[in-house]
Amino acid sequence: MPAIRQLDVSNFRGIANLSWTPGAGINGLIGPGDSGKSTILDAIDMVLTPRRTASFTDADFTGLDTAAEININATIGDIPEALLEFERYGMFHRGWDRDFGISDEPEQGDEIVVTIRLTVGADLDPRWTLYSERAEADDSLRDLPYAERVRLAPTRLGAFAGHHLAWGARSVLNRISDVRPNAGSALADAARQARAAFGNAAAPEVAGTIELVRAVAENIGVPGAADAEALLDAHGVSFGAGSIALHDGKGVPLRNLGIGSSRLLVAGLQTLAGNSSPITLMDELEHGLEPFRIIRLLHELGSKRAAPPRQVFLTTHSPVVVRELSAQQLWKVGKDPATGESNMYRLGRDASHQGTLRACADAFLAPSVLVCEGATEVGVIRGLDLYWTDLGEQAIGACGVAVADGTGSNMLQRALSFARAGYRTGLWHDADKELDAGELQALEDAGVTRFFWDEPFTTEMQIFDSVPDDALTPLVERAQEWHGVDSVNDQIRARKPDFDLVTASLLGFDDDDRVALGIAASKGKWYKNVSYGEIIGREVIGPYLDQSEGRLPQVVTALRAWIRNDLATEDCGAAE
Amino acid sequence: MTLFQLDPGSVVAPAGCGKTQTIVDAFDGYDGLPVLVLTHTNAGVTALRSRFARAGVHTSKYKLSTLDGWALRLIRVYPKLAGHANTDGQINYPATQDGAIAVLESGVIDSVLRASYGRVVVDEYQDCSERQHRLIRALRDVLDCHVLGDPLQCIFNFNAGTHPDWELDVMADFPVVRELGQPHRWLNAGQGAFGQWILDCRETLLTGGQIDLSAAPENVRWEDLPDAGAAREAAYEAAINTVNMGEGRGLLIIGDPFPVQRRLDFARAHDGVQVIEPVDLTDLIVAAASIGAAENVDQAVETLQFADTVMTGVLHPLAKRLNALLEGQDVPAADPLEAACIRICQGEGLRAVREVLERLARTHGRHVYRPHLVGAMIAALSRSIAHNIPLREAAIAEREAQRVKGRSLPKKGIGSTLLVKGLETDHAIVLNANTMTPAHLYVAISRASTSLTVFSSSALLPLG
Repeated sequence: MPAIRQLDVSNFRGIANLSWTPGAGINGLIGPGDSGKSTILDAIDMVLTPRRTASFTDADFTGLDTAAEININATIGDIPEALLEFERYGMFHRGWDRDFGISDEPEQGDEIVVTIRLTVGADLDPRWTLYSERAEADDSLRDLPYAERVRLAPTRLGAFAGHHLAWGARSVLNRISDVRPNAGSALADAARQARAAFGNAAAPEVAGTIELVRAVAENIGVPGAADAEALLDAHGVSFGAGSIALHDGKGVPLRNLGIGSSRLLVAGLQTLAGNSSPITLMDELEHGLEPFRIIRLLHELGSKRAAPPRQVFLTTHSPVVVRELSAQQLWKVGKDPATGESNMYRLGRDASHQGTLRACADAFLAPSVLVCEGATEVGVIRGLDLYWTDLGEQAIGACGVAVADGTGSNMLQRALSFARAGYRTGLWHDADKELDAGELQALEDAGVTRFFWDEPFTTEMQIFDSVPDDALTPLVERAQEWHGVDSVNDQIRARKPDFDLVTASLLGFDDDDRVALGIAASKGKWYKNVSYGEIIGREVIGPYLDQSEGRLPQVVTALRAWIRNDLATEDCGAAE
Repeated sequence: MTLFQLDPGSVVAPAGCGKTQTIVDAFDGYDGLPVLVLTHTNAGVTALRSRFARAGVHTSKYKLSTLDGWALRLIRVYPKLAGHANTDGQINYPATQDGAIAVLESGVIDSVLRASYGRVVVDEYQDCSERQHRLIRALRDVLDCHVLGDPLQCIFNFNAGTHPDWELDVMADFPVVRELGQPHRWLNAGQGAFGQWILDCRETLLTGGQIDLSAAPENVRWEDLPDAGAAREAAYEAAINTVNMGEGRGLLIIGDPFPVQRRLDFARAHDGVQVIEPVDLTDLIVAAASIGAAENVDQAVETLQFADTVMTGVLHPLAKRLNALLEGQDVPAADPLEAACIRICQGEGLRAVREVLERLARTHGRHVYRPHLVGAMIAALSRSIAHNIPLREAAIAEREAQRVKGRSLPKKGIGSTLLVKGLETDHAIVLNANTMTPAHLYVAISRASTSLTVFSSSALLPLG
């Protein structure tokens, strides 16, 4: 099946410059709003459409600068036999090598490919041609003939799939078999019957008007209108092939199935279609579908096939999709803020990505990720978030930050995965397990911002070290509530045999108390799940932060600032 | 079996035995991708094209081209693979062919060839140079290939490069799969015995023997060649007049290849005989350069000198009249032709030149012995005037256009074996077979379907 080997886009809407080598099968595009995911689908749609009428406006030019031409080049491999023909297409044969990309002429070992180009200049007049450097130099650029364009045309399953469930011109139903419904005479008959059946049905309502018309006609000398009647206009009742649509057993049009079901059905039809289009474009694949049907749809599109049946480009905001596709099938779309160049980062580049993808799928859909060492940290930051939003501040989510659980031993790998994929990444970890120099260097090279306690504290130990006395009692009480009074007391007394909560609350906690509590909280895993962490974050740490001392408020303040940093950029709060 | 049903290989095609028809017949019921049909000259392409059209072979079934033309396209389409590009309108043919060979031998476009052509047919294979042979060999490695030709018609220009040996090279790469043996050209003219005799001569010549013109069918007349001089010219004139020229019949007079002037003089001397011009029309280009570069009186002089080289009995009377008129002598007024000449002197330029030549051709038609050249010059003048380009350039353009158009033979034409090979006619006169090699001899005697007159010092040819 023909497939796009390389896509080059310049000056098209939000994409100043992009050169991309997509995969042969599914290409799932994720990325923050304004990164250009949908623009990429639009670009492919525009360059490969068989139609030759399209209207462009100044808004289609990057930065509205019509001085720079819009250029979209799609270089196609596994080309149909007809395009191998020397006399017509020889000038356009180019070479493709997986490592070296495009050569203007095929070379030893290359696959023969052709490039289709769409150009729009300031005159807003789109021009499609086959393209090669030597054909351009020879002034012999020309377009693909219609029949070949139809063969390459992509199927777009956009916001509306309804037209595929009727026999209109561009329906996938036309590609399932070569048989067209021979509707011609049947439709004409239906129209005639409708007119006949209607007959004079309108007559009673418009009787008065008819009288007037007849009177005037006679009066003024237009005998042809003297017998005027009100009937169905022949023009008003005309049916084309598109009027024939699929309906369920009860006569309800399948179009009413709902967008998710419609698109799922059409995707399935696509697979069957004998001369189906080689490329499928799908906006927001998850739209209207439950997770189990999202997975079904992905399978239908060939996500699990070793030899992909067709090339698919889809955009998604769904963690279900992120989890279900392999890292090789996922691309993060980003834009270099300095140069404005768009880039495509293939998540499969790094072997570590697969594990992180499965575990932290949600986080891949945000622009910034805070990787936390464990459940306690995840809970605490979420609790703090709730506390702060209660005070009317911007939520973490609104700042474009997702929180990911590093589950202890995975935190390094996960932080590196995100950072190398271009995510703004923070890593919040304990200090007790030291990272070695190599690991620290790797994090620094990847641009990860680290937040950590003084040696050798765990988060629990740091909390008990920093919060004011008033905060300590509720912390212990909550632990007792969740884990049982005796259990908790035993854990404390293992470190400080003579500890008593009531006494300490009244008389004050000393340093020994704090240390003992800290160790007990760590070893006893008092807050080691997200819910518990969230509660203490919201009820204790947040409110008492101002009165806390030492590293805790320092780190939390730093975390807050890092999170909020997103407020300065366009990503925060931008609608997708 | 038709050609395509045979194994790939060579078909030996003696003159007049239906080579072209063999190619045309092969398309009966052919259903695959277009056949790449290659030949050597544009005239050959035109001829094949009209044969295909007459036989109802649809244009979609073949792609017809000259070998060099196809090679040119190949290197234009894949310049980097070829490693050579022709620039400034100058074509380096050997480099072009080397480039085409490089493209094919690289193997990179094998899939393109297989998607474009069903098979290959090469005509006039004996005319292939070493390079062209290598090119076809490279094609043969990818597609089924049939080549047709006649080793006994290998005659070439000096500068035509090296040629492969038919036995050693061609047949090794393209084993013979068929030998045509029906003398169709002669059978169609009702002269079957004559045609068979020519075929028998062929066998003799191929094995290095001598043919005996005195023991030949009635169609053949051997004439003892008189010594150079009046006697010889008279004999030639008699031979021309003896030929029974009916309606629509043609006569080919085959003269010496060198010097060319001898043939021009022959045409000038014998009323009704016209020159078969070589394809490169050098005389046209040279004359066009001279006329185009001159002005006023000089241009008139060049024009008249050109006229003198193409027609008889014109220059002297006209020159005398013009001199008198220009000097203002008291002589009868200028007729339209003379008036046009005077206008050249006055600087009117090429329009007047054209008018002069047109009038001369019209009024002196009988005496024009190089009509093709006159026609080409007039066409070049029109081109030059219409597009406002120098006359020499227009002449070159006209020559190139004619390559494709093909041309008709004069009723009585004189040419060399090189010029007439591949042509057919009714009657032929060979002016001097003494120095002909077997190949030249065979080409000479196999042109005509009805009568053949050969002048030589012995009836046994080739001379020992």
